[in-house]
Amino acid sequence: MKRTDRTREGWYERFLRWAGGEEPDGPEGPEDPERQEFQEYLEYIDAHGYLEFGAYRLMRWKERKEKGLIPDTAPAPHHEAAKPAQPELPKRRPGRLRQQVKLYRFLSVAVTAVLAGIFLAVALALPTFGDRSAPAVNEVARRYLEQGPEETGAVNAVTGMILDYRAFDTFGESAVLFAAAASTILLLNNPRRRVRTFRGPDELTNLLGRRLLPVILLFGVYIVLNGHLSPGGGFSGGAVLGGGLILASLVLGEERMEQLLPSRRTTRVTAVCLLAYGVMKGYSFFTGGNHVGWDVPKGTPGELFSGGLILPLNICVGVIVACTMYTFYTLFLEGEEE
Amino acid sequence: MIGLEVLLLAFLIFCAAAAILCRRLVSAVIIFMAYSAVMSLLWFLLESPDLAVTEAAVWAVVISLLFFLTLRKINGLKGMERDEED
Repeated sequence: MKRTDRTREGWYERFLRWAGGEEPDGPEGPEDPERQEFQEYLEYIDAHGYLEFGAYRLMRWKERKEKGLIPDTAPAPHHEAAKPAQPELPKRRPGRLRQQVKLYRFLSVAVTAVLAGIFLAVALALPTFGDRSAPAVNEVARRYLEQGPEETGAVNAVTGMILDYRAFDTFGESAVLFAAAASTILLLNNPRRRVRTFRGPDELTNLLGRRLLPVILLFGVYIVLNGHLSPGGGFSGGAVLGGGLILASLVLGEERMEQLLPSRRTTRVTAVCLLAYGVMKGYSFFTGGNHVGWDVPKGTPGELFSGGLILPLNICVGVIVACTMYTFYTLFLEGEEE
Repeated sequence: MIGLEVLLLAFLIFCAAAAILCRRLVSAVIIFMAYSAVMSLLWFLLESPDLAVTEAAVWAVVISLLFFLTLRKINGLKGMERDEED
């Protein structure tokens, strides 16, 4: 096979031949420009480290063009038209950001001042505390206060109002809490990434928490159960219970609490309580707005089992609130990547 | 009694301003807790103990704890974790 046939021979074989130092004055002759270039390339990578031959040729593109190694029809490697058009940068305006920050600060102060002024003006225009002629003191409030204990059986007028006269509002509030808990579960619950990072409570948390925990839980239960007799009720008692559950989780650890009170159970209990509330208060729809026709026995006002449905309703609201708070806490705690 | 109320109200305003003006988010949350505690005292003085209990339980405990957990998630508690060294 004739090796001097340069058109047939591949680059690789020729490079091997040249690199091996064979045929110093071979058939191509010493003044072969390609061979000379290859030797320059070898010297270059000796001096500067390894470089692809193609990259080297690209680097020396101008010199090669002058030597006539590249036909004139070949496109230049840095073709102007091939470049994508540079998007025109916005004109640099020095100090513009600082101006904007200044404007932002000024505007925030101004807006806050205006809002505060409006609120203060409205507060000054309100009737004074305990004014007899205030619009809030009307026949509705009088009826609540005068006939509340008879009609609802609750000594605590506030609870009688929110759980009997306006029980439907409270139902909406509980549903809102449940919806908030449900959406938080949808957003944050990730059973695969459940990393528990409990390393035992602090000494202080342990010391105080273990003593305070029963008192707090008992206080919450008392507020819920005595809602129709003393200040408080489902919401406040439920909030105290929720705080107690969070403290229990801090003291006992999340794993122990997960055994005692699984998150599935809290969700289920919340749903059941909400349903029970709806059933207990839904009868008003069927018996007419004034509960006419089916009256729950009121009992003696002032006793624990009195007030008709207020006590079970209070328990329902308390459980919903406590479970929601605890669910929020566990969900926010979960999924910490450490 | 009026003096105590004025004192508490002044502390309330001070807390509200401090919570906005302080730079660290953790301090803002702690000031917010103090605000809620004083607010619950004020509710009690205004003769609504049920609101006082709710304020103390919801705002001073639950919401603040949620704030702390959120700060922990977004690494707002940097330098305050007790096991920062290891």
